[in-house]
Parts: sequence; C-alpha cells; structure tokens
Amino acid sequence: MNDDEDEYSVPNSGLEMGDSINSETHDDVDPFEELGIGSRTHKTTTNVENKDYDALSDLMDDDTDDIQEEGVSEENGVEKNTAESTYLMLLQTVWVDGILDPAEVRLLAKKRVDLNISFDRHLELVTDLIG
Amino acid sequence: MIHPYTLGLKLGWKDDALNEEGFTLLTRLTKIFDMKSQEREILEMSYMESLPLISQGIGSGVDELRSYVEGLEQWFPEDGGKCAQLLGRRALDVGMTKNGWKDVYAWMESIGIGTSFAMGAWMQGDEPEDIEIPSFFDEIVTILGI
Repeated sequence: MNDDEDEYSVPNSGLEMGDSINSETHDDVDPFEELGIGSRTHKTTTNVENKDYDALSDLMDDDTDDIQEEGVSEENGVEKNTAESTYLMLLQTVWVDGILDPAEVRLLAKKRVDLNISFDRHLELVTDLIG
Repeated sequence: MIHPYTLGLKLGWKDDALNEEGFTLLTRLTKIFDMKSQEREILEMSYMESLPLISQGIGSGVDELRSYVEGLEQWFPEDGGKCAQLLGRRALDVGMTKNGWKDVYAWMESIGIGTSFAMGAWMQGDEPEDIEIPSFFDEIVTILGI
C-alpha cells in the first residue's frame, strides 16, 4: 500500500462491513432510572425480551385480576345496576311517541318483576327521567 | 291546577277575614291531605298576597268551609286513593302524555294519593275498583282527557 492509498482508506480501528452499531454501553446512564422514575418501563422491556410474551394477554390478565378482586364484593351491586340500566332503557322507549300506551306499561310491569325492581324505585326512575 | 287546600283558603277567607273556627277547619284540611307544615305555609303565603291589607270581614265563609271539610272527611283519603288509581288507569287507556303524567302525579302527591294514581297509570298491583269519581276530580278528568 502506498502513501496515497493510506491517506484515503478507512482506518483499521473503524467499523467493518456487517458490524452493528452498539450505542448502548455499560457507561450509559438512564436519567429516569437515576431519579427513580420509569421502573415500569424497565419491567416492560424485560417482558418484551421474552419470546413468548403477549402484551395483550398480559393486559387482559391484569384486567381480569382487577375485576376478580373487586367483583366479589360488588357483584350484587353490579347486577342491580345492570338490571336498572336495562329497565331504564325500556322506560325511555315508552315515552318515545310522547304517549303512555297500555301494552308498553304492561311490559314494564312484567319487567319490574323479572328484574326485581320495586315500584318505588320505578317511580324514582320516572321522576329522574322526565322530572 | 288549583290545590284543594287553596280552595279551602278561598272559602275560609271569603270576606277577606278568617275566624278561629275557620283556622281550625283549615288545620283539619291539612290533615286530610297529609300536608306538611311547610307545604301549608307556602300555599298560605301565596294566597295571602291576593288579600287586601285591611278587611271588615268576620270570617263569613266558615259555613262553606265546614261543609267542604266535612264532606271530604267522609271519603278522603281512602276512596280518594281508589279514585286516583282508577283515574290513572283510565288515563292510560286514553293515552297519557308526559305532561299529563307529570302535572297530575305532582297534584296527587300533594294531597297524599300520588302512589295510588301511579299504581293505576303504571299497572302496578290489582286492577282498580270501579268507583264513581266525585266532582272533586273534575279538573283532573279534563286535563287527562278522560
């Protein structure tokens, strides 16, 4: 190799073709980690590294756990709310044409029994609905 | 819709004065309608605004008021509740409007028979007894279009 070639060639200490750039060195400092912020991110990164990791399943599992924890104590309340929501929806439909119709009212009376809604509660819902 | 207690006030204060018996009769009227003292006060305050500041009256309306109160005591609230339920049911048959429901239910509530009216209108419980509707409910009958 002559002097001209040395002058214009890539230095030996440089990158060879096929080498990857590794910008993360052990000396890199994560400022968020230093401040105690972002520990969750670190966990996520670890999970992502796991081949079998499924983020959606993980999210769903978390949700399921939460529901199971709260669900036991609130099960009855949720059922009651669902029944009331269903009933309220029906109640809203009977006034759609502005007139209360005997057939609609008969259906509501049956639903009150099915959904275990008291007549007093029905009146409260009617009052809430139309004042 | 005129409140039945306001009707009693009109009778009792016919000559712009109310005597002691008139006052007692009005108190009996509040018991018939199961009214709270606050409700009575609101209606009285509203009615008093229509009265002159000075009156030469002696409470001459007491006889009519007595007749009104004693008449009501004979059938109210027991038969009043039955009438209210029947009115609710009949209103449903002719088609009850939102406003019809709202206004009449509020009126019925104010005299202690709102639930009976609601039971008729929303088909709660047994079918209402067929009973003659007294003239006391004439205005309601008109409003509901029965």
